[in-house]
Amino acid sequence: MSDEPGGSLNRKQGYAYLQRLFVAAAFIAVVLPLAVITLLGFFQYRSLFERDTSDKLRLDTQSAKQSFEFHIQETLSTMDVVAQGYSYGELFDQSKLDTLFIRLRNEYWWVVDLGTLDSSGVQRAYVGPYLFQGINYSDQEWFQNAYSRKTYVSDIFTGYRGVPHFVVTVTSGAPGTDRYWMLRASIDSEHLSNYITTINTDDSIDMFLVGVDGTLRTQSRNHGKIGDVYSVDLSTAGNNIALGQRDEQGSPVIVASTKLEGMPWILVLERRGYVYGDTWNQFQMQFIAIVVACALLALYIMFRVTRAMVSMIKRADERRDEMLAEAQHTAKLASVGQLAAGVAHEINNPLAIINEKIGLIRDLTEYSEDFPQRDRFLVLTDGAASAVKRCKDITHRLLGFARRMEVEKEKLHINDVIREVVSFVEKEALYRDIKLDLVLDDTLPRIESDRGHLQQIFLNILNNALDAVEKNGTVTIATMAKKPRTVRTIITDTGPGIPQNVIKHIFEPFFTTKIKNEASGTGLGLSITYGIVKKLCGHISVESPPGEGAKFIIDFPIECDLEE
Amino acid sequence: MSAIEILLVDDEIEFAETLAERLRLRSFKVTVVSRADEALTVLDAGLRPDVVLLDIKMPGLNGLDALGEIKLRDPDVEAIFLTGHSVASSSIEGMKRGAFDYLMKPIDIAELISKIEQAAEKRKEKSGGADGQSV
Repeated sequence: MSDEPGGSLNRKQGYAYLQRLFVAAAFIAVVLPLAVITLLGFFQYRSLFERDTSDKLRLDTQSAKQSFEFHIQETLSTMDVVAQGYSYGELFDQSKLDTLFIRLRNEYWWVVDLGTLDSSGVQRAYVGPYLFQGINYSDQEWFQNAYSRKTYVSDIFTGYRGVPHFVVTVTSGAPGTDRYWMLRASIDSEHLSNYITTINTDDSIDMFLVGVDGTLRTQSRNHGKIGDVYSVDLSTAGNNIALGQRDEQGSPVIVASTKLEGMPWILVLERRGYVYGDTWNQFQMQFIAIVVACALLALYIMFRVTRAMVSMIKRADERRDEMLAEAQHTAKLASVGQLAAGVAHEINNPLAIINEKIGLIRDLTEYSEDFPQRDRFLVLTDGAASAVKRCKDITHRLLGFARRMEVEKEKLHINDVIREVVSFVEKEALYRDIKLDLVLDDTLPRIESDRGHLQQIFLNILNNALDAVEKNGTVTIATMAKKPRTVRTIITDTGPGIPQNVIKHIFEPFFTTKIKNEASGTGLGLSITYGIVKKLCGHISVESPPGEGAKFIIDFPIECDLEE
Repeated sequence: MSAIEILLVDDEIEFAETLAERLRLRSFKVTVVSRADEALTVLDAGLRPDVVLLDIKMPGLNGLDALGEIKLRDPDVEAIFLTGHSVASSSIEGMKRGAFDYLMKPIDIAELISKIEQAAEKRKEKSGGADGQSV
């Protein structure tokens, strides 16, 4: 199976295939780089948006971390500073602790209660809504962790009160001694959620806290309530801000996480979409629209260009076919000419013998004084001699058709040649009441040609035209300039025209439509004319529209490389 | 005035003999040979024609080359080519080599006689001039 033009496909399919091939190749050549540039641009811009978003999220995280840490540390510091203003005994004094609690609540209203513990873990003084005085916390995990630390922030737990909360503690004195005390304040975990709401002003950011066990410590917009498991592994989170990214339902989610200093929580900020999300979406739409428009435009242009190219190739092929047909025609004429020359030569010799024999008979008849039936003999020999002359004319024309014609090159005005030729035939035209019309352009340039050959050409065509028209007919000879650098002669007659099936063969030797009752009509005239026109670098063609006479169009270039 | 002497060289012997007879009827003295080398032989034997009628295409030595040989033997002799094919270049080549003229077969006897007489006249002039110089 062949899909190539010139294979099993015919030429029309070949052009269609060629056009498809050109369009495909051009499309790949244009659209592929466009697609690559588009993708590169797309990813580049996306990376830019990602970077901006990440940078912004990092700043937001940094800011939230600082706020958070400052918020808790400030509470701890205030507790510490205020506690230092009291003596050991005063701290365990209920009334003093009441005062301290009031002062603390003035600044930090989210502190739910306040208690002072001794080194055994017993809460010896307590201010708050619960009845927790005297409770021993020594078995509590937070107490054990806080015991030897200056300050401490516990994880969230429910404890005795059954409400999620965390405690912050400050201690003083050496652990295990009489001078040791621990000031403990508890804060509801709800405060953390409220605080996050306060500091998170960006709706597109989900900010929440996650415990070291991977469960939520505050409510998350996207991950559920307190205690739910957060799907992202944060086990490697440190004090530095870590950035990550994942895709959820086709849109990017950028995650920043950092451990809060001195607290058992990891602050997480999640952002869906890019900072300039609308701009990004708009950009994507515009970008896609431009790329699609460019691709369509390119496709259209490629289609038009390739169609023009294929049509040019088609025209070139047609021209080549025409030239090939013309070359074949010329070759055909040449080979017929060679054959004609051979035949003519072979006939000429016996014809010469016949001619001499007839001549001798005639001589003998003439030279003998008492030749019987002399007049009859002379008529017979004249008839035979006339037949020989007709044969001779034919063989000489045949040889003339075939022979290599010598050329005498000169620069001449084609109008002069036409006027000369017309002068040869105007008498005959006059006798037959045929009008000869000359429409000659006297501004024509001179052409490089051979006068004798030109005369032969025009005489031949004019004779044919005169033979074709009836009485009162017209033969028109017109000359005109034709681009590029060509002189055109058109000879038209008002005769019956030439049938299309005859036009095809009109320049072939021995092709004639004339009735063979005269010396003319050997069928060589136009083939000889054709040969001479070609020799003079010219071109001859015939047109005969139905209902009109014949029209011979002869073009000669201004310059011709004639072989002399 | 003595009869013009012609040497007719043509391999178409039927043609040559008939033409010779017609010329003889018109009082020309004609010798016919069918090959160029035979023509050279008769010239070597002392024949001095006024005009040589030469076919171009012949077996053996062709008419063009034969003309050169003939001119070597008799520089003043005039030659007329009789050719059966109209390769004009051969005829022109013949003229270049010193032929008086050429005619295409079949020939017109009146035209041939006219050319023969012109050629003979030319030959006579040349011979006369040469004689004049030698005196």
